[in-house]
Amino acid sequence: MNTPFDPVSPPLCDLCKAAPAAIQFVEQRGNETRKISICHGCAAKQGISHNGSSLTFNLPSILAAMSFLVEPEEDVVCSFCGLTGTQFRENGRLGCAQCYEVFEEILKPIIKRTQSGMDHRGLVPARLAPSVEKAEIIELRKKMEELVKAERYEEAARLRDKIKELEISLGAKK
Amino acid sequence: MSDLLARLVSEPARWLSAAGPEVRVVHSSRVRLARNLENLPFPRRADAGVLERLKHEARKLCEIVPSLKKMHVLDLDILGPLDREFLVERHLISREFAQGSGRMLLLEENEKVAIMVNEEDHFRFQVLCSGMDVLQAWQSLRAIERDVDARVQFAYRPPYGYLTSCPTNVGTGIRASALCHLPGLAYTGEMNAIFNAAQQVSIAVRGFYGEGSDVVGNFFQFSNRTTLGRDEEEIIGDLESWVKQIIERELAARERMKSKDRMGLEDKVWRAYGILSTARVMASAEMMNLLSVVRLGYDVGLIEKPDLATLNAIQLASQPAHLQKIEKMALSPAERDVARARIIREKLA
Repeated sequence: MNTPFDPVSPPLCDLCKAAPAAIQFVEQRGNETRKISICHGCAAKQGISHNGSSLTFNLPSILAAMSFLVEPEEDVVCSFCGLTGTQFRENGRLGCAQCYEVFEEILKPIIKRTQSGMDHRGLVPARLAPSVEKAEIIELRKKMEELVKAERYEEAARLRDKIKELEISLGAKK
Repeated sequence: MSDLLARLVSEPARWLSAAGPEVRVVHSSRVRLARNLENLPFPRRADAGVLERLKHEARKLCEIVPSLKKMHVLDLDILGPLDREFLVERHLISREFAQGSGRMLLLEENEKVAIMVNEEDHFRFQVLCSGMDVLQAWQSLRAIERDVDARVQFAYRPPYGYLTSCPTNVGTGIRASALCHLPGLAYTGEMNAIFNAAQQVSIAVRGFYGEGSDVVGNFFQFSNRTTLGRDEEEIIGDLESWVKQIIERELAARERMKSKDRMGLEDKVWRAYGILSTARVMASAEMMNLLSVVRLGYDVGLIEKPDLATLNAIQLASQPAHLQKIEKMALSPAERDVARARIIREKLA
């Protein structure tokens, strides 16, 4: 847990930021390494006594002290609804349409884990398609082509009939 | 508004008529669509002013959208807790919806179409049908959605599609479900295998009241687990073929039960009927189990009466809020057990 460090030019104590550090602790978690360097005074306050080659300390208090050193990650905030990344992580709900862009990094792995794909297939609002029928026809044609490729001719024929029906109804509306 | 609720108390919903396809196994089908409006925060992040604006918008839609003209408007904020619970028991609103404020329900008198305004999303459109009729429910819902879409701007962004408060609803926003009565599979111990198989094909298995509810009376609700990556018809089609398999397996299990010990099964059915038609005190869980046995008996031809519509009506009327509205007074759990037993006897007489 404790590793030697350069005693010639020791860094300042991470806790009091005043006295030169005398002891350094390194915490290794997987690939992540966190270090804390403390002076004799602060060490005593943390219940650490250093006597020649023997060192006694209270592990939880050291870990707690180290956690103060970790700079809190800056929380992402949605400028439209005010939702923060922390709130989203806690309750899994987004606050508005803009959140989908703001929290994309947190969102993508969730969608990947819980959904059948990353892209929407299906209905489109009428305002985004020349007409709902037209959008439907385009979608059905795509599906029909897929079915033909997969040699599922009977299902493809059913879609062809449906497309014809839609085209007729679209023509009638013009 | 209270007139509507008073009428509902005395009448079971049309989707409980047991007139739909495959009602021997599939009690009812439901499809719901989640939609939000552009440029407004979703309800959980919206203040009272925004929620009020949405309620106003919903009222306006009822006036101008042809398919919504027949809808009744129920402002949940002026309904008491008993009325709210009553609507939960009728599968018209979610429990979560019943508990919040700033909410409104648009409801067709026959209870086929219900629209929750300001649940987790601005709009939750729902259509309920008797039996295995997910496709018909979807077609009705699609027609309403198309009408509303012509008058509002739904929040939609590629590549995600329709945007929802919870990312598990994003894309199509569709949740299609079939509520199945599976005493055969439960009795023959096949449900665990079915839970595992459902997992593989993205089908969620839930209890009688959907999400977060327990399994009672051998009722299991199957629904699509994913909403993004497949289109609405694929989702409906996949659910339909899953339920078709379940129906076949359930009917086969019932046949096995019958051929293995017909007299034993017949005895169970008539004993259950005997208790239901004579008991003076009846707890809800006991009733659900006994009704399940009688329902099975009717479905496999071991008993001619009561029919499925009567069994559905009993199940509906015997829930806590229904009992209290029928009796027109607050009832303690013990009093409810007595009222429940009496209502069951009356309906079976």
